Amino acid sequence: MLSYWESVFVQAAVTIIAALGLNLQIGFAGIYLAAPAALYGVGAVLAALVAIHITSSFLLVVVLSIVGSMIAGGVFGAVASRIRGEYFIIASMALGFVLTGLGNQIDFLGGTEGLTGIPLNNLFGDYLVGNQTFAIVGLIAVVVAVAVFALLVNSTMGRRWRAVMNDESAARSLGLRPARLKVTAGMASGIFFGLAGAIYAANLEFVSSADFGINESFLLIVAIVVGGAGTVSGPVLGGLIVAAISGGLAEINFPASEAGVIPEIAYGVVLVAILVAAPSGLMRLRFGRDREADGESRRALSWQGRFNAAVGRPLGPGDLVVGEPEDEPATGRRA
Amino acid sequence: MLFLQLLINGIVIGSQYALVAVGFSMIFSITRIFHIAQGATYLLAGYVCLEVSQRLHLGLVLGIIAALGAAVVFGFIMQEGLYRAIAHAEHALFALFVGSFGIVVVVDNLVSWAFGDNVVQIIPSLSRNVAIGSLQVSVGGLVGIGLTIAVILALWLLLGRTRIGTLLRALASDEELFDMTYGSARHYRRIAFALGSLLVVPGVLMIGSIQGLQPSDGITIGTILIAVTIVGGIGSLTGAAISGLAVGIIENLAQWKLSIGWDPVVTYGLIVVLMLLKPNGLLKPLRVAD
Repeated sequence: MLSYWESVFVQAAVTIIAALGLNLQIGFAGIYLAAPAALYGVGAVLAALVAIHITSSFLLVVVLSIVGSMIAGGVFGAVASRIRGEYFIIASMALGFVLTGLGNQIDFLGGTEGLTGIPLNNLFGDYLVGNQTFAIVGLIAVVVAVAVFALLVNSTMGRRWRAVMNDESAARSLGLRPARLKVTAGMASGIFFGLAGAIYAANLEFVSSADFGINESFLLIVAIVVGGAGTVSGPVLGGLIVAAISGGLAEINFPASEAGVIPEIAYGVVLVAILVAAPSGLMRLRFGRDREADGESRRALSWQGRFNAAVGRPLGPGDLVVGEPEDEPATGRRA
Repeated sequence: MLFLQLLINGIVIGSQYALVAVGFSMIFSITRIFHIAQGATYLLAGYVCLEVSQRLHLGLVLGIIAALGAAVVFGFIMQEGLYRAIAHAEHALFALFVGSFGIVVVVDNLVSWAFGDNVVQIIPSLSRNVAIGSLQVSVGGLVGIGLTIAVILALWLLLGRTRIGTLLRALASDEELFDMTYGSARHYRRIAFALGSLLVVPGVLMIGSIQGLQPSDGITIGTILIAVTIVGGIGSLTGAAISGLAVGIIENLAQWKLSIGWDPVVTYGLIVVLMLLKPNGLLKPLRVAD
């Protein structure tokens, strides 16, 4: 029983780390990445390939997987800089299909059968195997990832990303270069996708491109939306909730025809419920209601304020903002 | 000869993409909502027709009527039930898309549960092939091309020559001005959703009979029709039609050199390339409709 929840925890850890990567793009850089699983899949495939062909030293696998994912993330960022915000949603989905399609077609990347026989990774001389080991690895990785994430989004570069997200023309007039910043945001997100992919590959010892498609992307998006994009702790909460749902549902024995379908429907329902009730995510619920679309702002927290609140620091006067710039999407929204 | 055959296949499928994209294009240009749930409308209409006409043996006409009804009702529910509730959030654009996406995933899985994952044919008689010279076209293909032309023509007349059409174009062009001049746009958005959802039905009946229908089509068709609309240029029906045709043709011509497994890579790769080359769409609308 414990071993089962340990494996759920490993899954949660991987989801959380990937969700952090997605959060960086959506919540902090304004890049509407709709196919995060494809990037995460790149990390996993790379990790598998490295382990099979080059080395099974876990640290090296992680590093190389991260490097590769950063390159892939940079490509996504470059595409995002060329294709306007909301249209990028579709471009990213298309890119995602291209990547999974390539993975399915090219045998070296696994083809339809996937990459099997990934050797056990070793870390400091010990082999990494078993749910308990990976639960510990996962925990450490999550802590490291959250720390890195917090550092990144609070750095100068992080503030620049947010500036571009909130108002691109204003940012440009201040001398920032949105195109370049989107590329760096994409690369930074690659750090998390690569790490998540490496743990995934080492744990499962099997990687197939088909496992990084729409449903998996959907899972990550649910995690972000439920937890709250644009916060540091949002993805953690969201990832835990999502993993808890899937772990809990897997405990119930559904007949085979329903086994794959029920979790997806559950996520969908949860997602829609959250969107209607708390559209900015659960983490944001603590800090006052969402801003109305007509620009009437109530007690709103600045980014610094939200960060401080998220990590539990007392808020100061500099953390409150009255009337944050309205981030009017380029084409407006109507319903 | 193979080339010509592939070209014909491409025109057939391309015209179906155009047909399905036109409905979405209308909804998007008027409401600016990334209604990827149009893919769910597609699935629902297709499976409802299947259920009524084949499994319940009530005949094709009733099946089509049921499909049209299901499409309109679903579109209405999405607009009134979901989108209006989400529209006032921060990052509303993405939230609307995510909600829409969530619905497609739910519907996809529901129909998978109810009907299984197998590919089904909605109107099997349409898949019979007809020989023109040494080329083969399916009956459905010919009907489909005709339908596409008819529907686009009808839409063009509706938007260009009727009062409702003019109002819809006005709304697409400038919402604030519309609100000031005509009052609430809500009624017209409902019309846009109803009309756009209806327009998916001929497409699903055709594609679902030639290529077949399966649950995963919800997302794949949904993605293609948004992409085709964007590539063609927002608000331009001709643009959507042309890019739908182009995607269909190139997708099939690629089979000349590549095996069939490469289909998705080519289609979506093409979409990405087109979006990169022309981020504002192939045809900038001169006025809003054409």
